[in-house]
Amino acid sequence: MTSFTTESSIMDTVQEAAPSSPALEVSRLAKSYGKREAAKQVLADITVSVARGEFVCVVGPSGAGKTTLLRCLSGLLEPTTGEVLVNGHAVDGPPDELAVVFQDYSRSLLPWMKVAANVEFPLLEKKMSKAERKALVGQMLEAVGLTQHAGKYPRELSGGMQQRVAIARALAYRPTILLMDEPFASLDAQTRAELEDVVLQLRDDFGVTIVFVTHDIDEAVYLGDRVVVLSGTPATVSEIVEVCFPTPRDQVTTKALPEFGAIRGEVLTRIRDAKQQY
Amino acid sequence: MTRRLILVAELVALPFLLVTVWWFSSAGSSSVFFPPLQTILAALVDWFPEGVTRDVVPSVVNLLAGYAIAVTAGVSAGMVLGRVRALEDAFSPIIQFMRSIPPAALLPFFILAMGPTSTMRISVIAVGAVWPTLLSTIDGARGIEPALLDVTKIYKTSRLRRIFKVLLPAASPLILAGMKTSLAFAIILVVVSEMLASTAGIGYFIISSQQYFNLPDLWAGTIVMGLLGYLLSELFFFVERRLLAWKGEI
Amino acid sequence: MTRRFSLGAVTVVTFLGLWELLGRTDALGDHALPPFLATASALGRAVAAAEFWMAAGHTAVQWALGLAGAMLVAIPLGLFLGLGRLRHRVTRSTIDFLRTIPPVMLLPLFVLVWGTGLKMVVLLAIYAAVWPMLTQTITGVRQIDQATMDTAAIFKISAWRRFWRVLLPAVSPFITSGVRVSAVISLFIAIVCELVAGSPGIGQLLAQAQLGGDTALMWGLILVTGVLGVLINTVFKTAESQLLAWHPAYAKGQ
Repeated sequence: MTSFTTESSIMDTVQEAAPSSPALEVSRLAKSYGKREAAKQVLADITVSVARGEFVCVVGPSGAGKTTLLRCLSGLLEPTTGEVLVNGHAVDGPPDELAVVFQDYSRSLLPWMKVAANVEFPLLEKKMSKAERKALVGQMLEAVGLTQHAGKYPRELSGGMQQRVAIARALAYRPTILLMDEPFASLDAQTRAELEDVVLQLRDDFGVTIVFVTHDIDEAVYLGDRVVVLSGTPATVSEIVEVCFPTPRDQVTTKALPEFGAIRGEVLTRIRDAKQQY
Repeated sequence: MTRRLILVAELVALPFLLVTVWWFSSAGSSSVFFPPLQTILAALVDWFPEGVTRDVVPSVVNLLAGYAIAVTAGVSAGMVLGRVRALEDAFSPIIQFMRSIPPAALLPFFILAMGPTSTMRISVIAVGAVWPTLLSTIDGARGIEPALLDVTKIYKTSRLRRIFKVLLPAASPLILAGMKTSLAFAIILVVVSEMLASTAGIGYFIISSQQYFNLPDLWAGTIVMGLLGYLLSELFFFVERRLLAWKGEI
Repeated sequence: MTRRFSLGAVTVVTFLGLWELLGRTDALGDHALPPFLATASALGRAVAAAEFWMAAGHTAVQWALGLAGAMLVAIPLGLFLGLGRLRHRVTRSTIDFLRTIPPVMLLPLFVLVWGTGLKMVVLLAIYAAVWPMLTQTITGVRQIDQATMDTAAIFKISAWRRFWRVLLPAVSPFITSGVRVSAVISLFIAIVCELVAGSPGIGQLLAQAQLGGDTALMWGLILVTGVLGVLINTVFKTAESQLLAWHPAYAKGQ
């Protein structure tokens, strides 16, 4: 089902020669909920590999199992069959080198801790001196532009700012892989565009591998080095599209490229085709 | 400035008016039951310095000791029951029955088993006042946002930190609401236990003034008890406001 | 549902077995805790006597009159105070003070003035049960959306109908939750009066059983007060969800 065929001239859909150990490797992963007859299969036979430093977007219609996939990758959920390798080790519970930015910032931040304490929270488990922790928190808040808001409670910030806190918290953990689950779904268009650029910038600054789940095709094409199209019931990888725009990307010029429209159309067609198949 | 003054005036006007009416309507009263406010205040002044150590301190010490036990037990058991569905199912019928027993109804048993002692008072408060805290802690623990639990798993938060920095704060608004009712129960229980079996405490002072038909002292004791209850609940509100400052709505 | 039921049944049986065991070994000394079966049979004997039912009747009447009296005072007063900004602000501090002071402290005074009979119990129960309903009603009126009242005014709904069809339904969820709390408080106070002042009722029988050292009967009566509490909780919870079936929180089955 997983197709690795070349489609058109402007996008080579590749079967990438895997480096010695990819950041993330998913092989023949399937997930069902429930038991025996009542079991509902959500994911079937997912095989994807993400290279170090790569930015991969996963798109698919709502209810396609994107969040389930991400929870399997993060070790929060055990796959029914198949396996996930992070930096070459099989995932069995959340790996140390991985952080997650959750969909709903208003629920994943700790509302009783101020911004700085939220960012510091995961660091408390690491062997760091207090001074090192404070320095790292300061650095991360600066990276997301929230230095002035360190002493506020999350509820005192706008949605976009709260999601910046969640991103700073994830990066402060110093992951090599960052999973993002529809992080900007509940933000307005303006804020969303700003944060997309923040994420691209942070990827360059920290060299982190990113898997970004979204239902927004524009967002996926704009951000990703590759776009994985997830569709069907149970969901399979119906297409992996290589995106080859120049970097740095820009909200105006990148989206105005004729290739942008072409890739966007390709992804959309894939989703629609997959829908008709089932 | 003037707005503050108006606010203060609104708060004080009616209490002031009521006390004034009481003062003048009772002045020169010859009724045994309603002595002049002046006489009551004189009794209060007589009672004052040693009365606090003799009557108020023992009551408050027993109250706080029993309340502390009730709250500790209620919160810890409630967190466990609220997170483990099977345990809650198992204990729910017993808890629902126990919390429906009027707390004072347990007093005869405790008096019989332990006599008129401080241990008796502390025990009856611990057992009688635990239910509101227990029940609302269960609700609070059950309603904890699953996303927060995911966060603690991803960042491998240690068990203690998970409990004290995540689970308890998340359940705290409901825990505190239950603790408020538990405090009211604890106050009722300490007073009633002193009325029924004691030789000390504010409840004893009130009931013995009644038995000696000393109405000025009875009124004075009642007023002290009222002020004590008011102070304790104001103290509670103060602590609650601080603990829930992050919610920003109080 | 069935799992929930069987788990609960298992713990209840275990609990009663433990009670029986502790009772038989007289674990607490002085026969303060008799075996469960002895308690049950003492209760069985008590229930067969008219005296028990008279006491239960007294408790029920005192509870009901206390609650009804408190409703008659609290709901109209709450509506009145909630509807005017000034009234609300001027009375707020006094109500906050009065509702936080423990009502049982008034018991000795009430006994001197009104004796130990029904009248005293009902008056104290009224005093204690007024506050939850009063504060809830005021809160309920204060939170009514101005738009709701504006809508009613725009359509020129008569004052009479506005009261019954708009105001009261909007406040009713608050009133019913206040009534539920007050119902429990009224029972608590009735039992305290019977226990401390010897007013007629279950609490009085309880105090007599304690003084007479009849611990089996004493425990039986403690169970009876628990049953009364469960009955009141269940009846008021059910009635509330019936009355408020239209309300979103209840329509969803809570």
